[in-house]
Amino acid sequence: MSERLARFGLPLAVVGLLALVVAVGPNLGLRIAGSDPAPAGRLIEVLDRLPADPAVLVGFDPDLGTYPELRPTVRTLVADLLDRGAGLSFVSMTPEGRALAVAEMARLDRLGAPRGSVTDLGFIPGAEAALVSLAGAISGQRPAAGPPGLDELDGTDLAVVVGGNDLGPRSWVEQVAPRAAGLQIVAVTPTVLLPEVEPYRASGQLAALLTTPGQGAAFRERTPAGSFPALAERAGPSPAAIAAGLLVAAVWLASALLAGGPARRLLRPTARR
Amino acid sequence: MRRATIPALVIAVGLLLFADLLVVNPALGDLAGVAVAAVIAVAAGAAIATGTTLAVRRGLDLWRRRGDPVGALAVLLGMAAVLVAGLRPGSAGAADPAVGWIVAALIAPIGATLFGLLFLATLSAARRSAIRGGREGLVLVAAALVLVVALLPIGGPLGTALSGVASWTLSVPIAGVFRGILIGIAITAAILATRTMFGIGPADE
Amino acid sequence: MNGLATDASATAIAALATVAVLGGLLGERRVFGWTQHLFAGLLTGYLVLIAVREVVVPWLVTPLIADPAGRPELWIGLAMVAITALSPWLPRALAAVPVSIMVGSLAAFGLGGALVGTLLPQAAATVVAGGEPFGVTLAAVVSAAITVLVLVGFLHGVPRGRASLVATSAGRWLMVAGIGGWLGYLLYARLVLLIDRIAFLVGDVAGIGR
Repeated sequence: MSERLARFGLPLAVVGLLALVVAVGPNLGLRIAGSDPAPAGRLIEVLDRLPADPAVLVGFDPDLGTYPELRPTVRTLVADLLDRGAGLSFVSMTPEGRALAVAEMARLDRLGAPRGSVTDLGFIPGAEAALVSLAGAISGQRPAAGPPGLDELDGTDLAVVVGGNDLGPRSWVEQVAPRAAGLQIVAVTPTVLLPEVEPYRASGQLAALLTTPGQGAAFRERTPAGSFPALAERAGPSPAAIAAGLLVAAVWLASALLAGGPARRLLRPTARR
Repeated sequence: MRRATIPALVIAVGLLLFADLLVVNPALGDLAGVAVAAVIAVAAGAAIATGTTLAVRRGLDLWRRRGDPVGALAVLLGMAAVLVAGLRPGSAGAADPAVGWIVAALIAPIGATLFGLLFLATLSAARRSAIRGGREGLVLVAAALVLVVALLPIGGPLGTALSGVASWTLSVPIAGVFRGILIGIAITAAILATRTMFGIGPADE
Repeated sequence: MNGLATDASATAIAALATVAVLGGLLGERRVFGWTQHLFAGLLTGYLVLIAVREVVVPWLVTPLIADPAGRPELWIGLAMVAITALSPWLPRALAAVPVSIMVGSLAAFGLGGALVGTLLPQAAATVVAGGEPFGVTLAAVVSAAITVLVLVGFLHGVPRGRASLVATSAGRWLMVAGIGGWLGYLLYARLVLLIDRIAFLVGDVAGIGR
């Protein structure tokens, strides 16, 4: 195989294959929701325990690159919260998060979210300092600096952290949770943050966490359409395209393990230096 | 300003904010609130500094015909487009439709596509790592392969079994590994932060 | 609809931008590079925009114009913003003031967060609780043993003695395998992102399969 073909031909073939599968859209009875349904159940339990018309703070800091992974799940979660009568306050601490938050709030407005149900707290710079300021507002202290709506965060029932950037659920658990006693934090994050967020789910510091496409799909599957079906994004990525891509990846990785006999080398004892 | 003033400021701000976490005291809380507000103001200033520094650097590149002039022009045009759309009189800032259009048409698709390419880049890197034949690379790729197969979205009894493998792997061994790494990082961060806060350097040991 | 585009012009430009970046796959590096430069400029411009429009003006400038003498702390805040923004061109001693405040706060938040938010709760979560079904207890024991070994591998510098060597080595291999498992999930997630962009071009732009 020529080097040029390996460098450009194979990637192009993969993209072509995925495009073909997406275009044809074969329904082969595949589903991505099956891989990990338990986390979705935990999130639904937390949402079911909320009081009527809960006050929810949405820490919206996904990054542009990984947001498509979260977008259907985040939109479905927001639609579900609005269906439960929640008042949502959006705040961002990263510029990418702010850009996406503005776009999502404009979409909610356009598609008929109830008037007054969404509050824009804007952008707070300063990373951990911004979180500490938020935590103070949640626990009833008057913040020394911040947007006007910050005063109304006292009595927040739930914090939903949409992660992806540096300021993800770990920062919320480390900075907000110790200062705002009793606040429940749930999170939706991309898979790239799995190593740093999974232990917080296991320890219960995050009341619920969705962090892989399969977990997000399970949540979307189990959440009823509610009063705002247009706000939710039900259709995730094509399962057939995912199956095709994963098969390519599996073959590619398996062939690498066998190429030149590295698998045999693994079993051979290492020469002592 | 004397040299000792800077470390003193680091220590004072650090101790004040750390004490505020541990001790509930309204006066201390108010003082810490002022420090937090100062950090937020500094961060806002840093954001502006980032923009001005980049604009000056790329402007000089263009002026002196240094490096890639088209690239420098693209940076400056990008900055100008957002700033004109968001700062012109009557604009609603980040919520202005013109800024929203730039986000939807350019910022979001470019960012998302760059990350989409990472599927092939990561796959190629993993393949190279396995072919090189180091033991770590082989174990890494073998573990990735197991998970890739387990995550195949197929139905039936085989699909259920694979889902079970993926789910158990994530909640038991992978969670155990990540907790170990997280605790290790937290210990390292705590030591580093303590040394910074108290101004302990190698000379003090 | 995939993405955030709301009108035809935004969709068309988004499609061009997507194709320009995907062109990098075919070795078209120049347009790919310019797109990255444009992206950097747009993002930096956005950062400056929100810092000015959503922080400096509403929190500091507007209240000061309304009542210049009422809140003196706002003048200090404005001075901080100005010193930091101009720091590349100011004397080092003056520019070091905001940096010192930032470093002090990072150390304090880092220490507090690591101790109260991570170390103590995670150490507590490693302890295996009794009274659970056998399968759950066994999983918890396995997970805790892995955590301890990985921690030993992570923190141990040069192991001495056979037991220490075995534990450190086992911890490091477990770490590699765990990161490999994460790589499997990462590939899956990156694939979802690529499919999202392809679905945008195929569905939203070309109108196929909608």
